[in-house]
Amino acid sequence: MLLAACGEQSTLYTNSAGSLALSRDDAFLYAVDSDNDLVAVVDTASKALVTTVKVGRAPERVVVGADDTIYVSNRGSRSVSVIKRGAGTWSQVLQLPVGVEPVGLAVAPDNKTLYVVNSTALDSPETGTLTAIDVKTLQTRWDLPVGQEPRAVTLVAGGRALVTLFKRGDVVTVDLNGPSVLQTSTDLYQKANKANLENRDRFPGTTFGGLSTFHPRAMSDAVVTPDGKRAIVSMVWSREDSLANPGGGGGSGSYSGGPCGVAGVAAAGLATFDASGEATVAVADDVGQCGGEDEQSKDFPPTALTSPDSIQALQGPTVSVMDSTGSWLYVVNRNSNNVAVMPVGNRAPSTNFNSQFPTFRPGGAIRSLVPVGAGPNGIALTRDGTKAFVYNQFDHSISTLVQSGSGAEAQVVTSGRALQVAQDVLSADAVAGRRLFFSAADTRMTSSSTQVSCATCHQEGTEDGHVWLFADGPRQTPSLAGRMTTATAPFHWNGQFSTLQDFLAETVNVRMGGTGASTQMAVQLAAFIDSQPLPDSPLRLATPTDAQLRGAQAFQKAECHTCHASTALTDNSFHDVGTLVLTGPNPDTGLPNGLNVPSLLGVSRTEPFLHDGSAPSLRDRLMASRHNDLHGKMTLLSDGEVNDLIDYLKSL
Amino acid sequence: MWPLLLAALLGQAGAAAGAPPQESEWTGLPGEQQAPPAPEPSAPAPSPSRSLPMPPTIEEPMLPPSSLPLSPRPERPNLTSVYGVAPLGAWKRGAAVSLGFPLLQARALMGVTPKLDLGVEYDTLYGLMHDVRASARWMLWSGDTMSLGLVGDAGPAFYAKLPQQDAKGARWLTGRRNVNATAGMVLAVHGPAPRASRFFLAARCLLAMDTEPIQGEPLGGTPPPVVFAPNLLTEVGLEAPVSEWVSLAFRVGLDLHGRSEDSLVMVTGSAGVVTALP
Repeated sequence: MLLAACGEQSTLYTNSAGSLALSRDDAFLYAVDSDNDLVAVVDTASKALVTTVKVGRAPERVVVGADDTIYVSNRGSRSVSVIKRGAGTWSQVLQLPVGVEPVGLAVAPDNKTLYVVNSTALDSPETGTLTAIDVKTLQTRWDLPVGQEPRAVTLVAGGRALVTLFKRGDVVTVDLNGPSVLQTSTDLYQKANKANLENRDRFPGTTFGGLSTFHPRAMSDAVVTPDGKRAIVSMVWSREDSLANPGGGGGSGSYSGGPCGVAGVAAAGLATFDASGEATVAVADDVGQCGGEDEQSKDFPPTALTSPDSIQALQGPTVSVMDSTGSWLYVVNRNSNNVAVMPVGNRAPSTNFNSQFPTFRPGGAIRSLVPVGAGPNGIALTRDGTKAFVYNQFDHSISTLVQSGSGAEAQVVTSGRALQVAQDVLSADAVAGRRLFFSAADTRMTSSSTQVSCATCHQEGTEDGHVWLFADGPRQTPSLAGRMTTATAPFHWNGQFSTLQDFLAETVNVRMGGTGASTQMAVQLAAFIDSQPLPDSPLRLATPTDAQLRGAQAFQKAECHTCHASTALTDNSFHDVGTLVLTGPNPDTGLPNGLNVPSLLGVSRTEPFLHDGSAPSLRDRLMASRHNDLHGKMTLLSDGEVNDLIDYLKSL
Repeated sequence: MWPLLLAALLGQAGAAAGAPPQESEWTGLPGEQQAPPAPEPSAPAPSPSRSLPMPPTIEEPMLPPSSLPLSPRPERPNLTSVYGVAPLGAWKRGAAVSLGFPLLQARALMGVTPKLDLGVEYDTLYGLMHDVRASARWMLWSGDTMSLGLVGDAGPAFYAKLPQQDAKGARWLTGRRNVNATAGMVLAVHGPAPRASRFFLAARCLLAMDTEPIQGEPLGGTPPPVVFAPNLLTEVGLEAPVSEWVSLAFRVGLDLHGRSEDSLVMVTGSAGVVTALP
């Protein structure tokens, strides 16, 4: 047991996360609007928009240093904006060049170093980096590869940092003084699936209804306790066993069956990590053994979150923050448009929801589930601990949260109307389509017992790196961003839907349990999907390298272009390239002509590859078919040409 | 508890109802007559035939020495009080251990002046809290059967759980926090017998200093770095001597906590042993 005589308060605490931050004096709120490429400055006292500051493209997150300097990660322009606060003025003084698609930011407590998480390195799309920048000179000190698709960084005790890996669903521990990667993974998956993994070993080949294993995905953010010893990470639990098996959630639609009675196959979750020792370890529930006699005694929030009421969904946890005493956690849920408030150090059921959840389901620990605007992805707490602000990215508005009631009955509610700070710049259809795409609460798209949205799997409009075991075979989530998707009918790996409307009729109505997607909704969804830019790639160069040019020739030589044809790099037809899964517990069925050819646009950021996710890298894929001509005429290529072909594919 | 306390008090008082034995009773044999005063030298000597004692008869056999009906040995007094007021006396020591709800407690005191005792105390909520304090006791006034003293202690407490995990735990039960200091008065009542039970009534103010305050409710405001909370601790009890060195101690109390996060009222109780240390 931990003996705590005196409070140990480190300066690692941050009171904001995501697209929102407060000035050091709490007088001003800084909201990052990704559509408008700006930072909105709001007077917190008068709740009035003061000014806006133009920054780089697609700004994602914001932090404020100890000297009140504002840093904004510009995901669309490989830069970090540095904004200085003057006497009632704010101006961008510099855009620091960083890696590809920078997202996560953190400023060291001594205000000497800014840490930036880049989704990929400048020389490779296969690994992201953590960059340290000298705050005084604004020069890069070091750039450290940390793993595939990193998103958030949080500073923890011992001069270390935890970096979340978005698709892999794990954290990397970094020694900031080295710098070096101390630990590339944790025991989260094993610990969370302990009982079901044991059952799998004991009874091979047997399916246990409701006892599925779940993989952490979409690990987007991390928040550290004030003592710097624990970090809580927002993520999604994605089901791994066959969706044909009955799930434990009992929800309608074939996308039901989440952990701990959560309806959806992909459920909102939190992962708690203990970083106080030499190794970072997960402090996790067994998601197959939810509840139990010792449920209340656990000293961390529930690992699988479920809505505490039957009205609101709880899906898409994106960022989170806790109060300065480390007592309350506020989880912002982008896909359900609300904020879940729960204790950090225990999970005593809220008195309000006790009667509904007498068995201490995870939802019982949630004190309040506060509805906010659409697409929330930022939160900031005032230092006096009485207010929270939430940025609603899709509405371009700021909601204010306050306490209502007192004592054990105290709840968190919204106060007044949300403040609009920017306007829509997308088309009206795209704006509406984005709300539909991300919403796990719109009953037209999903049922209350399933609570999944398109974005639950197509995370950030792209993909989650997960392979779903459908009844007709394994299906890796394809990316939808920048791939001219609506022009590549038929849809799905098996091409069973000739139009988007057909696709929605099956996916939305049958699988997600929605009441029905109309023709207008199909148009709106299509408008949003096609508005998404292609994910950035460091090897997509204005002037191709010689190797890429040779690779383009190899692409032709191996006749890849016959199927991966035209602008979208797909001929929208079916081919059996020797990758069908014909054996095992979940084989492909009903594919007489093979699989629908996927687009190769942006392929370097869509690992793992193939419909069953069996190729972790492009090289793995090409080498697997190196000595046959089932997937292109690979036998015609020399080893050098294969290398060139890989370089070319990474440039797409 | 009360019947027990009363019985103990009355039993001891009854035993002590007779007057304390004189020194001569202790040193003499039972039935032994006081020797007649020596005759005045001027007085005539008595007749030998009339003054010689007669040997015992068969009807009045001589008892063996071991079974002579000796008068009871007078009790040495037990004056070692840890929970009451009576000071131990210079350089004399006393200790107490008690088991109860919510605390298991150990105390040790040593007299440093005829009226002042200093000591250390250790309280534990059975492993969930460890509270170590330095203590002092000063006898203000003492009468035949009553005495009044000032008591105080202070020290740090250590908890097995962080405050965020301790909603209805040690802090809630005891009202204590990271550093605790108490000051108060103790009124003791005791009988005249050397081993009369000592009844005591204590009232103390506990000032708890919380160096790791938490936000009790979401958006309920950030607490200051240090929070002080007053509490009132009341207690009645009894030290009932069972020998010259050992007493049994029984205590019941009522704590009133001044912080809304804590229990408003907490009943306490314990049974233990008080002993003088050699």
